[in-house]
Amino acid sequence: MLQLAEKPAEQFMLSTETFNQVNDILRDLVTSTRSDFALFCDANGNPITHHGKQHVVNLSGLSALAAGNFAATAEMARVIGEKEGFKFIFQEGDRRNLYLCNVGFNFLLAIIFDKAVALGLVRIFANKTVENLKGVLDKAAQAEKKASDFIDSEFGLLLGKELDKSFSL
Amino acid sequence: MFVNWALQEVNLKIVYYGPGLSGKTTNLEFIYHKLDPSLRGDLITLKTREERTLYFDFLQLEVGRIKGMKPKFNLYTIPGQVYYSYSRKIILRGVDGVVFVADSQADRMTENLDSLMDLEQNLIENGHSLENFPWVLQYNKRDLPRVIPINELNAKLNFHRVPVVEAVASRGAGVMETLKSAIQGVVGRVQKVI
Ligand SMILES: Nc1nc2c(ncn2[C@@H]2O[C@H](COP(=O)(O)OP(=O)(O)OP(=O)(O)O)[C@@H](O)[C@H]2O)c(=O)[nH]1
Ligand SMILES: [Mg+2]
Repeated sequence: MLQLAEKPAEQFMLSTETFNQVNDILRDLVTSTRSDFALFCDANGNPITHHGKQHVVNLSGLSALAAGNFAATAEMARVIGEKEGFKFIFQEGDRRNLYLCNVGFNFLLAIIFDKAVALGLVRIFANKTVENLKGVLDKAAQAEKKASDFIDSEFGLLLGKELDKSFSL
Repeated sequence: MFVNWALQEVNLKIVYYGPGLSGKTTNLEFIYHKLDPSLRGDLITLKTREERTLYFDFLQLEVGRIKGMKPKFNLYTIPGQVYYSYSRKIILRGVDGVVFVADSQADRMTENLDSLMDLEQNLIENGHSLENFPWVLQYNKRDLPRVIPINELNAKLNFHRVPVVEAVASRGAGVMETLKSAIQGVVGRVQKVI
């Protein structure tokens, strides 16, 4: 069985079942910490799912920045000789704080919470959430279907037409 | 590639590579202004005070559903300046296709070649290589006076015979064609390999 959380992979296939389980875990996290928002994305910057108040509009942008930030910070850890990397990234704002940590090798969890919520509380629930997410991802076999099941020559043709339309070529 | 079956989304990552000042950011800026806002997200740029890319630029595109699936294209540029080597490695993680933006000016050939070798090295570290990977070449800045002829650029840079597009990115010429060609390269490879 493929371990989604740890195995480096060129292609990720996330099944609906795993997606729903991840959603439930994020909902629990946001409820129990009374956070504003939690985002689950992959380490390459693809957003997967989120839960909470919708004040973050550009989810793809946030995911790309979270992944870039996390990778740069991991490299900073290496440069100063922290072999295991940093456990999390914390940023304090005027009204809201950001907590960012990895979920295994391939995924990231970002939590945005009000200044009134204690960091210690977020840390404890974030750690628990990471364990739960790893459990779900490690048990999840990659979804049965392969990309080539739907990305066939017909898909290529239709996509070409769609691009011509969108790009007004 | 990231496929989310619950949302029926396919995420593909395309990276604009090439030497400093070749016009990578200019490509993304043109795409951003050209496309209808319903088809694209915000343009994120992490740059120095001198407008050089410091870490990356990012832009997401969406097109309508195809066979029930929603394709999303995540476009990144790398910082071309030589000393941002580690940033380039990071941005290349999980890459599905590359646009190599070469500078056509006669005195930029060494930089083009160095950047292409750097790309090859980084692809190898990601388990790919230029030989078996979808990438396209954009010969940019064709409007400038002392440009290298196309056949000479091909002889020096296009040893794998990948698709070539001539461009003047600052005016948008060739930009959308380049992107379409790169996307089709990625989709074509999925059909063949996976
Ligand atoms: N004449 C001309 N100038 C161009 C063209 N494309 C881009 N430029 C200019 O070249 C300069 C550099 O362009 P950028 O897009 O910032 O270059 P870059 O490849 O992103 O550079 P780095 O971020 O340092 O790697 C800008 O002043 C652009 O306006 C072109 O086709 N013709
Ligand atoms: Mg740039």
